[in-house]
Amino acid sequence: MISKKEISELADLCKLSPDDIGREDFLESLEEVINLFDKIKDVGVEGVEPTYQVNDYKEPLTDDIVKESLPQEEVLKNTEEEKYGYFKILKVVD
Amino acid sequence: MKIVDLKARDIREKIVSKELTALEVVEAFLEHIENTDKDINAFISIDKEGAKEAALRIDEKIKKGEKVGRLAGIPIGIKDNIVTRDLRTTCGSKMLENYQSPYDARVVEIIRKEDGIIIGKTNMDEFSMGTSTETSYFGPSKNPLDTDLVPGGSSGGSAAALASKQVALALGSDTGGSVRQAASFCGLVGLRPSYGRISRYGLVTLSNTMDQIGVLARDIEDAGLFLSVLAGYDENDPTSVDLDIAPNLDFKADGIADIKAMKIGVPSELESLGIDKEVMEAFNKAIETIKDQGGHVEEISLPHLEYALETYLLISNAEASSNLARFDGLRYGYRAEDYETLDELYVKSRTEGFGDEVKRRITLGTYILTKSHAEEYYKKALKIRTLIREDFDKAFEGVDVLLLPTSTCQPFKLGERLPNPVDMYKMEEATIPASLAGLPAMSIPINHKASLPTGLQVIGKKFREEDVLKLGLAIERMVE
Repeated sequence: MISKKEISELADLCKLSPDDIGREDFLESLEEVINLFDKIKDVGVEGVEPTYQVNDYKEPLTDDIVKESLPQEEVLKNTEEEKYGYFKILKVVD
Repeated sequence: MKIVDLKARDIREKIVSKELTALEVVEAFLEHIENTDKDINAFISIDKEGAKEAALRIDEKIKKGEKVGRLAGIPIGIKDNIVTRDLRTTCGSKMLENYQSPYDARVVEIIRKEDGIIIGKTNMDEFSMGTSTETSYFGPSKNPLDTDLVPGGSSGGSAAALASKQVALALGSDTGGSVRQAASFCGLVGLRPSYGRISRYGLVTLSNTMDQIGVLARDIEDAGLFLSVLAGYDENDPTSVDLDIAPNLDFKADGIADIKAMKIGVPSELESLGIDKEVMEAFNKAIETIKDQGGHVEEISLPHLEYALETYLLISNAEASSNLARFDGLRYGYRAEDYETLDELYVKSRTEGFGDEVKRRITLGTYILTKSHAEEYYKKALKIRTLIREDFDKAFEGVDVLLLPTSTCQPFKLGERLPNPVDMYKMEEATIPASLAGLPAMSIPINHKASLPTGLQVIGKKFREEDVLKLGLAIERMVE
């Protein structure tokens, strides 16, 4: 069972409303999925390395050359509010 | 034959030979969309003007005797999680309802360069989270074979558009099976290439270690053409690979020789996947046909197959919760109207902007990654992923390709499974293993005469799309 405290902590971490993800039907669906996860307890993994990526790949190093990037107005065109060429958000420091 | 009935490669050929103009082709497809999409809802956005302009440019090139690209004049649908400069990219979500990308995805650039015609952006489960296209903010797409049924998903809009002949090729994305599963529900070919084969630059990510752009086509030859055009390294996607793709296959061959030359494996653990009786019957019948034609089919073992679903859910949800943290209502995407603090802006924008399935996966992913659960769930899943990859490596020591059913079930009625997420997840049990291992896998329709379509899945060794296409072609010829 996921406790109310856990839901409140999860909501804070995922920036979702605790009332919304704390709905009874929603909690039931979460628990149903979490119950599935118990199955993996049977699998022995001692000495097994984790797979983070399926292909061997190296972080490529690129030459330090200045390239043209997106113009400011392109970057800002999807925001709800902008000011002086910046994203406008609430004042966070007085 | 009507223009919309033509295969993609034939469209190009007829345009090049001046039997048809690209404009005639585009107008025929647009008219067909006009007549059918009210019932199918395959598209979120349609670019009539852009498509006609692109067609005129091709006709002009041909008139001047200039060379045209490998996709010249072929009408193509793009899943709406692949960004386009001139059309919004919504990911089937209210969160991105009005999002306009400032750049084209690499695959979109290639399509334009090769003179393909982008008809529009296709419907999908919200952020690719679903297997029926029912979680889309823009309403579900319908299966053109029977509009009471779902088209599969999450690339269901692409599959529905192609199956209803609104386009001649379509792009999808496949994380746990979205291209293959939708193809199997709509009686199409759906190919997910090896991880890294096609650049993911400009694909809105769900689960970055499994997402892969894939192709949907009406037959293997069209799928092979589309794949060979799109494959390649891209410096903007460091996970893409710099490996040559095999040259075009001989599509004139009957494929029987290929069947005899290949060793084919079938996992002995299929029963552990809970596959519906009708699907297994169609699958077994296809295997018998392959054997009758002289195919060497043998049982192989994938001992960890039964843990693939849980492993996938743990890894993909963990990755999704992290990847979707970028939707904060500030730089782009939906922003709530009333908020007093910055935190309230985030919470309200995300709570109002995402649908339930997205919230479920974000919450689950966050739960999986919390300090108290990360070790027992996330890290363990990463290790089981290694065991699943090793199972495949071992199996491929003895065989060239593997066969499995695609979806665990046939297309079902709209609304029938939506209330039960776990039922939805289980439909991908047979497609998930190849995703976890990054292998190429393709769904081919097998029971043309039956009332409901079923898909057969061919899985190949990593970067051996050639084997998958070869066997697929042979099977296609057999079931025809």
